[in-house]
Amino acid sequence: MWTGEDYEYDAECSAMWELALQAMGSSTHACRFSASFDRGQARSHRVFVMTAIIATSAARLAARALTAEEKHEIDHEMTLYPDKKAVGLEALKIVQKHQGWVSDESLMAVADYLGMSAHELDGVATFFNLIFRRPVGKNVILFCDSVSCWIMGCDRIKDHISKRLGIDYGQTTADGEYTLLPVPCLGDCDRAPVMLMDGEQHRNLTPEKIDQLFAERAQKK
Amino acid sequence: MTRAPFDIGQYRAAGGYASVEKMLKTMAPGDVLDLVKNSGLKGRGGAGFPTGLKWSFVPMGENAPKTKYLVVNADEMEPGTFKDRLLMEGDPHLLLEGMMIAAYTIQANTAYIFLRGEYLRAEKLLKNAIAEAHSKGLLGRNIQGSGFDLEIILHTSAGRYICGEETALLNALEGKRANPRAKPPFPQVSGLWGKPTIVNNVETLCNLPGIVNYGIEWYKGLGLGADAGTKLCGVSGRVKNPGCWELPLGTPIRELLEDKAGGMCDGYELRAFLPGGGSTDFLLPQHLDLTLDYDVIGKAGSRLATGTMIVLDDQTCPVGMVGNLMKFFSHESCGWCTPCRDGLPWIDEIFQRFEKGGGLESDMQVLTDHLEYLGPGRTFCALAPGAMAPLGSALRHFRDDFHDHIHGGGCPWQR
Repeated sequence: MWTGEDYEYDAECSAMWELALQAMGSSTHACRFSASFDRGQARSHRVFVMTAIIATSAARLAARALTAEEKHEIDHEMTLYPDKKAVGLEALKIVQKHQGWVSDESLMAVADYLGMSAHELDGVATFFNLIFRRPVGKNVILFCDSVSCWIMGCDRIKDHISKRLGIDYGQTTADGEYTLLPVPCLGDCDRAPVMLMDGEQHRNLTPEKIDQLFAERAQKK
Repeated sequence: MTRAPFDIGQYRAAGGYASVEKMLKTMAPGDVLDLVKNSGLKGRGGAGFPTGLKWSFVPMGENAPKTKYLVVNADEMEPGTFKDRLLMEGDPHLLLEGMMIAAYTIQANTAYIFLRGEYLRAEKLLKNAIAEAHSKGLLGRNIQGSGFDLEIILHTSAGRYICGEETALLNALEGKRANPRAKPPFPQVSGLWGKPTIVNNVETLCNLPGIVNYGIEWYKGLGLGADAGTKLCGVSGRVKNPGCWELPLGTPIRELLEDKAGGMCDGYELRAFLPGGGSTDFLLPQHLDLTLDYDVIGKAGSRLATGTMIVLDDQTCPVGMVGNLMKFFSHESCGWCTPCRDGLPWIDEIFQRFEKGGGLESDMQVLTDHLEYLGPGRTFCALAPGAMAPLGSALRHFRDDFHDHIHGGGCPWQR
């Protein structure tokens, strides 16, 4: 825990600290933020500042209660590994499946449940492309932008989707339906360009196919 | 792959799991190790390391640690690579059968499949196959009365290329950030949770049932050249019939490209190709008569690697293609070591300028310098050296294209 006595005050760290507090206020999560002042900082300072951020974050945010269903699924994963910490990623995926994304409150709840610190778990959460630390749309479009799809003209398809939905990579439509994200090679290169939506791979994409796909979905609604 | 995979009944009727029955009844773990060593099987994940040799580093015998692990690297994410997905979706029981052979050989009682998070269909099919194998007594305790126990656990990841690096994969499986580990110790001695661990690629394991069933001579006889066995080979890009085929190692590249993939699409010429995914050096049309052999491709200055070829045609910008790869590698750098973390984004930024028209002549020297700074031995793992393969060969083969970008105000294909 953060204790004032251990903290060697200097102007640089003080500035960091102010920034950290501001970041907490706007609910930016601690570890991603901390990365920006990692470089060049003495290790001791870094540890203290980070601990301070986490402590502050704990004071301002409370872990939400995991649902019975989430706990049940996480418990099952725990039976498959000799170490509780090993199910961190699975637990985050379970929470994301139920909540749509991993909020700070969810992250802290999972960390508590697994006996890990929140920053350790956030280190895992922010490492993986498919753990969403911000809200996403109901449907996440994972659009392959790797080399074979690029050769087969995926940029044109991506522009078509962007135009149709009015969103670029990393954005969500105003109605909360779609989020568009780039994804590395989906392993379907002989049928490029491809994308993954709703757990289904869509292949040999053309602008016409995209139009048809979204028209069908609009009809179903 | 359009048909549904065989269920366990169909799979067994077609001879499936015969190798496991034969092995459990008639072979000791050491016998299987010798068999695989002498078969000449090389890892199909990319590095081409002899599988039997890899296994032989696992401590065996009474003084060896009791707990050992087998881990399947099913984190297929090499750009342009689409072979493991086909195996897992087309024949999930074949992978399980191969896993049983590997696990028995090193006497591991727990095996994890580290599956790419995006491979949702493979996840469903593998889960189902594991449950089927359990219900038939092929997994669990005392399999077929042999006294050998094995549990197979499916772990699904959440997207990060670095997890394909075996020590990064082990960290991910332990619930940590997937940064690679220092070697030695090698995973065979100290791997998952510090226990002896073998990490094998999906396709490698799928070779094992055939070797146990039919033996060394048969397996070696499958290859046409120096290497034993067959390999899944794919072609993507502007060819008439892109796809993936199982071919004998030693097949000429021309046969793969022209007979199987049907040659280039009408109106397109072959300019160059990456023989085995995004981390390999470009080869040229003059290399088409080389054979798909690890050493042959190696001598030509590239690697067979995953065996899935990416074709560059004459109407696609080579600089743009390499720029796409650099963006990928830059994004997927885990950030652990400085040359990779800082070097790849620098390269990516240069390629973005080439594209838009802000390229400088001096950038060519910066790129050339990076070939050394990010080369083998300078980084913690093989990610950055892998990225340097297409970059270095592109700088050699496509000098004029780079020149056009720098002096012509951006990508000539976009103008």
